[in-house]
Amino acid sequence: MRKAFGLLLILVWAGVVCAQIAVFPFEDLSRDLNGVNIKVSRIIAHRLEEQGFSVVGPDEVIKFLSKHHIMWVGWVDKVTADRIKRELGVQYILLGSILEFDTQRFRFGLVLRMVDAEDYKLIWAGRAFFSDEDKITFLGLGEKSWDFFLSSAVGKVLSNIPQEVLRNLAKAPVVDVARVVVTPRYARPGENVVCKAKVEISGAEPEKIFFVVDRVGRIPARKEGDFYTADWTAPAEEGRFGVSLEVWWDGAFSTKKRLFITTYYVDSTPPVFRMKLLGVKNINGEPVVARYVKIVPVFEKKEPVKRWSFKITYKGDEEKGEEARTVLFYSNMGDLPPWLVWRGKSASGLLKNGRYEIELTVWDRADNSYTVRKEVVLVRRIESVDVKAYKEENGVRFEVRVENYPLAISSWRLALWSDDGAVFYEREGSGVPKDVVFPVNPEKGRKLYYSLELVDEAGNRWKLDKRPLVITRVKIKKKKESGWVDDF
Amino acid sequence: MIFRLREGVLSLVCVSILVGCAGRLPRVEALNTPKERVCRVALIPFKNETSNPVISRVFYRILLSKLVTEAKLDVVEEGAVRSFMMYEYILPGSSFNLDMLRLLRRRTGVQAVIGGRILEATEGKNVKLSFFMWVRDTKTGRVLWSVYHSRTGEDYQKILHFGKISILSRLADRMLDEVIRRLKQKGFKGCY
Repeated sequence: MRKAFGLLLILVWAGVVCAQIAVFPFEDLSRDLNGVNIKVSRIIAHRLEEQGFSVVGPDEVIKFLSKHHIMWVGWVDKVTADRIKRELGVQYILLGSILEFDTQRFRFGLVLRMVDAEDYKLIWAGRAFFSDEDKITFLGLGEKSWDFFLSSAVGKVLSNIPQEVLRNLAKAPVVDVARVVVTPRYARPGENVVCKAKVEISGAEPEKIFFVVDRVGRIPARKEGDFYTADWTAPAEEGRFGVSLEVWWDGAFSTKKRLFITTYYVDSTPPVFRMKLLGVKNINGEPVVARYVKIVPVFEKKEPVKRWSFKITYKGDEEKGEEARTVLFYSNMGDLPPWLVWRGKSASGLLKNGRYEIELTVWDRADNSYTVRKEVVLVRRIESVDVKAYKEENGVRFEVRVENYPLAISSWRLALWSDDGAVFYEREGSGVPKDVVFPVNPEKGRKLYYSLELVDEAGNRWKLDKRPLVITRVKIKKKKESGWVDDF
Repeated sequence: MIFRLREGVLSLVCVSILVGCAGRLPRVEALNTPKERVCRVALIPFKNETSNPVISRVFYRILLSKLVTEAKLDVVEEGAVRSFMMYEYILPGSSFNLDMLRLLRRRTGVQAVIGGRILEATEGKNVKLSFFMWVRDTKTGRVLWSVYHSRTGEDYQKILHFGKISILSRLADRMLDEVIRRLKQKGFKGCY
């Protein structure tokens, strides 16, 4: 079991190591001084090759040796080592000596050594011996085959390579992260966070991959297509947390690599703000929107906004039997503008006067929302103006009454027109026009027109243009004659 | 009287233990103290004085492997030593004179050379191996350490047939383990 495990470690190690090795035919001292055993060297070369080594096998090496008239295989001189490096493109040379090889009596002895072809340095040597005593299992229960014997010997000799030599010898796999997706990047406590990473690995495939998440721990990754994925629950604590990828190669090489891949945020605080209304008039303790309102959100703590929405709701009028309804809704992604302006309009035009609610909702990147509502009174147009004209002795007198309008009328302009478009008279003044008399005498068959323009203190204009002049008839009570007067 | 008897029995026990162990352990002599820490060494082929034609090379291979892995020495690759011997017309098993040692030092940078002779190698039911080994300073030519060791496969037998060594290469391996352990005790330190 231990030998099998040793072999497994070696196979893993072989997977990790990617250096190119030339495996020489082994000298076979079990025969004589000039004996050569290609079989065992082929087995080792083949195994290493299977596990990802770039191996130049003994058959190729024999061609090289015959080309250069080299008659020995048990050692390599400096010049030959350099030639091997150049011609076969290898970095290491594996030399082997079989000391015992007896299939009948189950005897096997092997010594391996590895030479660095670059600087002609002996970097490792290992050996393994087996004899018929090893063939018998504990209490003689069963026997091992020669192939098992050979396999164990190969595993044992290679498993003796010390860690420091392995590290020098091995070209550690290169790992890089090609793509990382973490959703959501801004999470609320308890929310499920999913991280996907596309990992590029040059060299041996890792045994395990973990995501190491701050405050959460090590989470095994699962393979989903090209990505390694893990999910976890965001902790209750707020803050910025790192996510690393830990790649494990088990076995003799036993390497771990940790790569910092991304960060995510846990945010449970909503984006608290207050709404400042500019341009409103305080009339009778109520904010009145006369012309426009500038809505300025003032955040307690400045933070990026993911999306926001703006809603105007008409509060309705119980007296008139009108229900509340949304008259304007607008939402947008991204950051909130520094201010918003509402001019008392909806998509269908200017809204009627009344009570409205301004609602602004803001979502932060973790989808924490915060809503602020404020009620305003919209007084945007003069809805009820009563204009009356009376005929008097000295002309036509106009009387204008503005009803149910909280704002003061700052100026007026009244013009009288003839039917051919010529302006007779034109007057203007401040406040509501009162007792404006035009010295005209409307005759029968002649049409007159008037225009009236009122401007309130907020600058809202109200206009009646070229309305036909209708004289309001007033019953004049004739004074009863009190009788005759004695004239003395 | 009782005291003398007890003393005599104790002495007998100690002597018998010492005699028993002395025959089993390799005899390592530290002849000269090296002036510098021996780290880089060359292993020259051993002279084979037995009838087994391959034993010196088998021994050489095992010793080289042990010097690298257990003695933690920087050992010059065999090919470099063989090339040197070839260029200098030195036959395997021949002794190196001081000039040769210095030349080898200059060529390969070794501080010491390890060589020796295989005196006895018997195969069969009870394998036996005897060898003599020396470590020489390449600067002065002096022998720093000398080792003599001889053992049979049965020497390692514990109970019944357990522990008995039946192959020569494994016997050499076990014996060299003991040699390196003793050499270390005598001041033969590795590179690290």
